[in-house]
Amino acid sequence: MSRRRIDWTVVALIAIAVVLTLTASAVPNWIRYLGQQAVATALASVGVMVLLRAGLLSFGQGLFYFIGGFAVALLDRYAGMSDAFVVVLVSAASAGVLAAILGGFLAKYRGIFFSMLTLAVSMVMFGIAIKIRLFGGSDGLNVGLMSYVGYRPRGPDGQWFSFVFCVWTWTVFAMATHFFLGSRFGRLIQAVADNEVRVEFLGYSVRRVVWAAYVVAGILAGVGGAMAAISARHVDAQFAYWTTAGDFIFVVLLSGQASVVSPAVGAFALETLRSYASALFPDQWQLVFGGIMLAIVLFLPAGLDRLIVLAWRGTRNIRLRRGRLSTLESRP
Amino acid sequence: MNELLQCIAVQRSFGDFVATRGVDLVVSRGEIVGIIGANGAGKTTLLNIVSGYLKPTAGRVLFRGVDVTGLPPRALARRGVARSFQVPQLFGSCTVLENMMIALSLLVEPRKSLGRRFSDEALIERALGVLEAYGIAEQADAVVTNIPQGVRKLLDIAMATCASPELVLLDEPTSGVSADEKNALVSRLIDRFRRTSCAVVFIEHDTDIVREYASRVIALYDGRIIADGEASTVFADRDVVKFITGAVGMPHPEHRHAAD
Repeated sequence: MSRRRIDWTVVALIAIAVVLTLTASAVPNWIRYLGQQAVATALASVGVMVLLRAGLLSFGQGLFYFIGGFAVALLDRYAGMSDAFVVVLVSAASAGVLAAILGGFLAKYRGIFFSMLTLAVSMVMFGIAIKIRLFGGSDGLNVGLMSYVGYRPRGPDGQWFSFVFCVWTWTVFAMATHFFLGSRFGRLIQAVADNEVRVEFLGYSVRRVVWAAYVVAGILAGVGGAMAAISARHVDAQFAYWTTAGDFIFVVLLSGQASVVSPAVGAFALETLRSYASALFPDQWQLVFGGIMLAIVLFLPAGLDRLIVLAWRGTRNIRLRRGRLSTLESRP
Repeated sequence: MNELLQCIAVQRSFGDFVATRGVDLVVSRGEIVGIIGANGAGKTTLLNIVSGYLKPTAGRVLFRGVDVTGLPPRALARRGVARSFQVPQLFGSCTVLENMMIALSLLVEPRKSLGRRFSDEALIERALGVLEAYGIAEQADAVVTNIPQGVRKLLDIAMATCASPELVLLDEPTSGVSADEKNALVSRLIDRFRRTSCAVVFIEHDTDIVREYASRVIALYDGRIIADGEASTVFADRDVVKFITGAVGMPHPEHRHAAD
């Protein structure tokens, strides 16, 4: 009975990363670029998903995307630090620290108040960033080429490296989030959304759970922003604008919340859509967005990954039940 | 020191309405106390104050001789005060088993193991053990929104009390349970708590059940204790007959939500 079930999420994450790494050199550069933008968006969207599990909708994840992106740009510009591993960790840490501070205050709020406050904080950052020379004003800042533990690839090599780096960063952070959500503490996030009173009467602080979810979401958005900076090699105040956070919400709605892998699908769809729709109908591409959103909400409210879940559920339920029954029977 | 719980001149008002007026109450270790009273008498408010859900506007609450007035429910839960609800407070999107697993991982398992995998065999096994003790293990895989009220009630109590508390507060454990199951349910619960010499304070409208199981009965009327003693004495009390059990017959069960 102690045999652990295969964790398909882990398998999928690693398989995707391995396949993308192996095929990367055969794929045209512009698709790789789309992919990089997609994993950056996907990781930030995983954060939105974590908060949604707690029943909270954040319109302010752009703030941490901004922090992550600008951590990379500023480190490169003022500290001459361009090691991809270091800048990603610094981005994660800066976003995490800011989320820890803001979370202490935001964890009191629920529903529309939480959403509006996250939006407000993010827009304050946007307002500051657009005015301040340190952040490059509305033009933003350019980001130099990254190096990887001392090695600085250039040209097509550099593009290959940054793609593979972003894909594996996504894999590592998505997997960490997967384990976090699968832990006893992670399960509390859902419990809080279900019934706060019960959690308090079981001796645990609801605010601490919400705070932790907020910090995790902040870190994920921070790393996403760092990846966006590394792949686009440019950051601007727009990162903190509420529409950036809106993208993450769109991705989660589109792809569903069944697993940490799901947002990657939605993010890739979003990035592809954005580039195609804006090329085909430059003035009406938001219309296409809206149409898709409407179709999803009306016909597949649980998101695209619902289709996969439905296909798998049959066999999984049978397996689970068999597992539990045998635990019952083997009891003395 | 035999006093487990002491309420000293506890008072609580909501605006102009005074729900609890200067209640003095001592509950000793292992005592089984039944609280009776009509709708709005302040029964649930009293439980809410003792369990930390409401702060009293005046007065003090001592648990094991320590002042716990105004402590949040989570602090009291950790000190050994368990509380069940008139309307079961469950995790609606989870199965019965998962509900129990969450309760165990918070109340029983050490805090540092919160980082461990949720669905591990030992925790499942343990949760199934508790569910079996309450006779609801067959429903383990059902989502709680789909189970009968009686099972929800039991699960609510099982979750609250899984850490072998010293004081259990039950808010109408039999409301929503069919008449022929009531007795079995209460006797099973009381038996369980007697074995661990845990004190029980329960609110109950069914006078037969109160007579049968409570070693002491407290009658509340208009936020005040009007009688306190053995069941036979309390039920014979003129005020109790007049205001609670009297000619009007059984009062309706309260429909007020515990959290109100």
